[in-house]
Amino acid sequence: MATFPILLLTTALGGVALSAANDGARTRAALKMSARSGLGLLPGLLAVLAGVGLTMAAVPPAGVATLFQAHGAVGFFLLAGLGALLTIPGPVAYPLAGSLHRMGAGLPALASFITTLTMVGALTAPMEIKAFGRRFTLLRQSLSLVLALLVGALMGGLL
Amino acid sequence: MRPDLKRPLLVVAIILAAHLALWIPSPGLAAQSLRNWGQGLVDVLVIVPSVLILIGLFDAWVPKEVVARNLGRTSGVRGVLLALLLGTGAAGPIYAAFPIGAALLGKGARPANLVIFLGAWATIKLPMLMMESAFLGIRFALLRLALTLPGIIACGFLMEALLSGHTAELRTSPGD
Repeated sequence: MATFPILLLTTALGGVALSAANDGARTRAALKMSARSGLGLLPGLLAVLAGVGLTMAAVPPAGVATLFQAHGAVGFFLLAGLGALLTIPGPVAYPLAGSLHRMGAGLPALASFITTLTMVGALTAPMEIKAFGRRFTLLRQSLSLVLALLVGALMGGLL
Repeated sequence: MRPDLKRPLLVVAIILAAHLALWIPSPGLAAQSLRNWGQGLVDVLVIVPSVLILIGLFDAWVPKEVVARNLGRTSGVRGVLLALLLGTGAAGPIYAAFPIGAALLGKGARPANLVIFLGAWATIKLPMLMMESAFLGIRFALLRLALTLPGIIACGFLMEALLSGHTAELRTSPGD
């Protein structure tokens, strides 16, 4: 996973060099804009990450696992709901889902868990609202939640 | 907005104070929470600065007309495929995609393609597919992909229809 950030940084620096070779003033303006939006993003990012960190500390994976040995509809909605609250990147989400499965959580519930975990995030909503507005965020997150539940239910029928 | 460090520093101070208060009843929880925060910050800080630089360059060099033609109202199926491709090609959590999406929207991408881009970014990734197969089985991973992909595209067009008449709210400048 560590190659991607390096690749990204190389691309960015290469882009800056290419841009500066063509037009120094335009490059300076572009970088100034990057710095400004970065500083604008920073307070929300710091707070959101602290919220996610605290939630993950308060609800450790092992605790989640015992909690979600509940089968049927209860386990299904509990998992989807927890996924909708948090936003966890894939490399953390899949091992977590894997251990939940070993501990007895059903595959349909895990399908909606993974989908809400990556697509819906109540804790990251403030950042999304800042980028696209409240209406857009609420709509996208509710539709994604419905999609996740639908995917889980369909997988229950198909698996 | 004027760039200044006061607000981020204030947020850091509040977070540290909260953890200090948490430390007294529950030192283990406070320590784990701080560790998670640090790990989250590292995860984000190795990606976001590069992304922001690329967005700045994109904004300065790519003409509005190019984005509008390839991702805008008349881009059709090709626009949807491009939005999917842009979303799956990247790594990182979905909040890294928000500023990119805002830049695309500002340059004339249609809302449906923005939603498709965000959905693809969040949940459809080829390296992630391999990981998902490893932990939950290839049948599970492929089935979830086959169900999610059309769902994301449907969400995009449904949202565009529901948002029509509210595009003014969407046209806010990124990072404001």
